[in-house]
Amino acid sequence: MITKDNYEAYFLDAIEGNLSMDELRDLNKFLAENPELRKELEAYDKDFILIPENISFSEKNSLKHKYLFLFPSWAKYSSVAAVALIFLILASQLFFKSEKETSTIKQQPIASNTNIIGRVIKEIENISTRNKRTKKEQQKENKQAKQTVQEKQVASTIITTQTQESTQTQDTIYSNSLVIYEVENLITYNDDKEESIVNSAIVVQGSSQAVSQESKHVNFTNRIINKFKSRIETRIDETKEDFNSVIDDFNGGIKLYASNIGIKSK
Amino acid sequence: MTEKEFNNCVDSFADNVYRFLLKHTKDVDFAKDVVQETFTRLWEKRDDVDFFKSKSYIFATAYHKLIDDIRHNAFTVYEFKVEREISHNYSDLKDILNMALETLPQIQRSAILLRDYEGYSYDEIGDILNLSQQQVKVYIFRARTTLKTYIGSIDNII
Repeated sequence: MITKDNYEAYFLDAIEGNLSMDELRDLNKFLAENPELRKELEAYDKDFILIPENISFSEKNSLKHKYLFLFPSWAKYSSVAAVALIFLILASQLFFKSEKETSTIKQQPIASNTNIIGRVIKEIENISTRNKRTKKEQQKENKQAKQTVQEKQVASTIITTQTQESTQTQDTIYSNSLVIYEVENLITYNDDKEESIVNSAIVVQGSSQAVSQESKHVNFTNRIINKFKSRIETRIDETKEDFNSVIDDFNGGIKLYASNIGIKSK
Repeated sequence: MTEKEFNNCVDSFADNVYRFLLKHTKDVDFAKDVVQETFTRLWEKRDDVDFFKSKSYIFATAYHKLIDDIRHNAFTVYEFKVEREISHNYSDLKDILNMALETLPQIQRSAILLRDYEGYSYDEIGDILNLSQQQVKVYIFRARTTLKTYIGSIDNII
């Protein structure tokens, strides 16, 4: 219902064409009852509209959330940040790579020294074992050959000399030990049977200086030992052939004795 | 409302609400404070406010803060200003319109500003100002009639 309190709303709807036929009929009836209000309706200018002014709020950035506060900066300096990041990554990789290479280079001698030390320790242990064995053999030889105490001193000298040669490979030293062991076995055998074989061999393999029976404890070099070993083996083979030739002429008891020699040599 | 949408609201509506406030008060600092408080509240309520209704929420919040301030301070300050400034000579139509706006009651001013400046419908204006659609139409009709009458009187003076 149109009253004096709300007639402006009906006037506005009428000007804007939003009234239905019934509402227009009610409005005309209201204007007929209040003719002084018709001037207001006629004075209203629907084209009188306020034009917005351009007013800016200069503190927008302070309103934005902190997380996205840096978004414009990120967009603006994204390329610079990407380049800086790549540079840092490359620099860090180069740094760690250089550090790694340096440490590797520094560790190489340490590892080598460790190997040498380990090898030296093993060699010392081997030599100690061999020393014990050698001493045992020497004692046995002393008993068998009735040698003097001076021979034991020579044996200890051999051990000292061999310790100084710790840079040699383990296989070489084992070979020396084996050869020495073979030689000692052969010497032991020859002490009983053919003592002259070993003496002559040592004289041949040694230097121009005279080598006595005691020189079987000299620290042989690889070259000398190998040659000496081959000669000894040759002589052993020859000895075995001699025995084999004799075996044919003797009974089985002698064969058993020859086989015992072979087992002991191994 | 996401953080990105919130910042879009700042970019899109901060100027509008600031202008709306400046049309009600000459206190620039007060207008900035209201804008700050309005968007702070929007941030706090961002999970409950739909992005497409954020503009109405912003204007409603700013309007209520404005009304609270007016009620706590001199309600007729603008009328005194009008009386003081009307003695000046104005050659710019913008100044004349601003002066005419200051003659309007606050509720009429808010309604016609939301209608003409922001393009809100009568229903939306009613939601912001807590008025019925019929009340909004009444205030806008009266405001536009007053402005037209005022401009006409100024033209006669000039």
